Amino acid sequence: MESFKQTDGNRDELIIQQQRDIEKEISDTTPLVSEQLPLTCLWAEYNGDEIFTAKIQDLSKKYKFIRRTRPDGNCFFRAFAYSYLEYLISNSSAYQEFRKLAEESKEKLVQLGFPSFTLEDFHETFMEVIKRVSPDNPGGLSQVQSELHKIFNEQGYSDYVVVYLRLITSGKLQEEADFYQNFIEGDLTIETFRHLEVEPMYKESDHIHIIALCTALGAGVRVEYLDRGEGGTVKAHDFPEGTEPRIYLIYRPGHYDILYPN
Amino acid sequence: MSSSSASGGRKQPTAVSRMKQDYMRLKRDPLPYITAEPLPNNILEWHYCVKGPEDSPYYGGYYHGTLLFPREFPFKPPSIYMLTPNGRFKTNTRLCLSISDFHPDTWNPTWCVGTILTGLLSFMLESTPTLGSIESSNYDKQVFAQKSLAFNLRNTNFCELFPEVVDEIKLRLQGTQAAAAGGVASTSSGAKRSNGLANGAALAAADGNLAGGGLANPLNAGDAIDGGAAGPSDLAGGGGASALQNSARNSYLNWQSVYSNLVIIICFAIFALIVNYVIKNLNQE
Repeated sequence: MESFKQTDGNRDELIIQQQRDIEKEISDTTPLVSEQLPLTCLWAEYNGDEIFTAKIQDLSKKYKFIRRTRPDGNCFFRAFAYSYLEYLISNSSAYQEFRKLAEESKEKLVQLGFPSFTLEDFHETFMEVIKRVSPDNPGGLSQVQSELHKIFNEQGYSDYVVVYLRLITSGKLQEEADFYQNFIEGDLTIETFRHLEVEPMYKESDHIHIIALCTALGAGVRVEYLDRGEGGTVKAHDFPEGTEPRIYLIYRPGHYDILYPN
Repeated sequence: MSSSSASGGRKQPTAVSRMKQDYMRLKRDPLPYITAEPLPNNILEWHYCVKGPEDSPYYGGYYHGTLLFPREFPFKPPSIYMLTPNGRFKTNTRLCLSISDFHPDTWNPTWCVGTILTGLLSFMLESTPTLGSIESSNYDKQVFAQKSLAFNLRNTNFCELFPEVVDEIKLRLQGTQAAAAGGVASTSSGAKRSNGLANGAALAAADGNLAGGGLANPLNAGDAIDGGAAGPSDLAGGGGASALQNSARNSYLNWQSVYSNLVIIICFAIFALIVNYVIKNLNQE
């Protein structure tokens, strides 16, 4: 009996080890956020598959570039933050508005019951990132853009931003629990869902995450869905419905990247 | 990286900078029953000392262990080890809790050293089984608690990091030695006889503890229990029930062995009679 338990424990350790190796391989080969790449680089991934080739062709009429994010389960949050900040640095009034909203978000989360000590830590770093990409930078737009790219490829900053967005998302779910409860499958309560699917790092995002985050920050997102579905065109969906999108993302099953419209 | 820190005024947040903040916070608001210190030369290795709370079978014990934080903290959880024999967790074995690195999927980056240790203590006070846990009677736990005093004093890290606890332990050891000098022989044999009684009392105390949910702690009880989403509360209930059954089984054990011996003797007698009968028949033929 004892020896059985022992081998069981070893197997767990082996699984954990293997998982770490896979993660390491991904992080060694893929940057957190890539440079802008021509959209047609997607063709190479699908080896001339007819459905995908046609759909990518269709997509390239509307979008010129793609920016890849590391597939680590945080891709939606990272892509969202990068894309939104990129929009804000070229739009001073929206930037100021967002900065104020971000500044006040901490107080709101504390009131919702988040532990203030650790929250403070994440909020401080989040605000620091926002300040560093201020459009008022004397170096001009291109310098701010390269600063943004650098920050998002530094694991510490990049992940702190992801955590803070996860907390904002979780806060929104709690704030409007009655509404969001309808979107949750199974018997999970909002409370459990937040702790299992929203707050932990590396947990993939679903529609419910996107809606909550967009609503909380007042930012419109358009997601283009590239999959094997019928028809030669890519379907798009706006969150929250009816708002003008500021952030453009492409979704392929399990992963989000950033898009740049023509 | 160096240019980024120059322009940002602050260094990129790292595990080390976060640990420093955690350290300051623990100094400011100490936790009940728990003290924790990082190693002076490695802030990613923390040592903790848990004092067994009153009303628990760990009362009187001091439990020393370590937390090993990964470079990716706070995005990945630490490993948790217990070093002092305690009757609840194996020693020198990585423990499997929702707050430890066996469960990166339930780890929440907003948890800090304080949350982890409070979670560990409340899990210790339950009897939910997990990888790295063991079962023992409350009597055993009390024995471990008594032995923990001298055990910890033999650990150099413990003595270096927790000088105040060491003084406290030494004082208590002196006290018990003086008392023991009086009537060690009579109490030890008496303790064995009243074992069953003491066991029952301690169990009742532990039971109250379970019902009360243990300590007031910032961690949701459900979060602290291992097993993630899979009905942790059933587990807790099952664990408590099995512990009770165990003690009941212990007290019936003597009777069972008496019965089984009796049955064996009777069977043997019947067998002897049959053999006797067969041999007689053979002789007649």
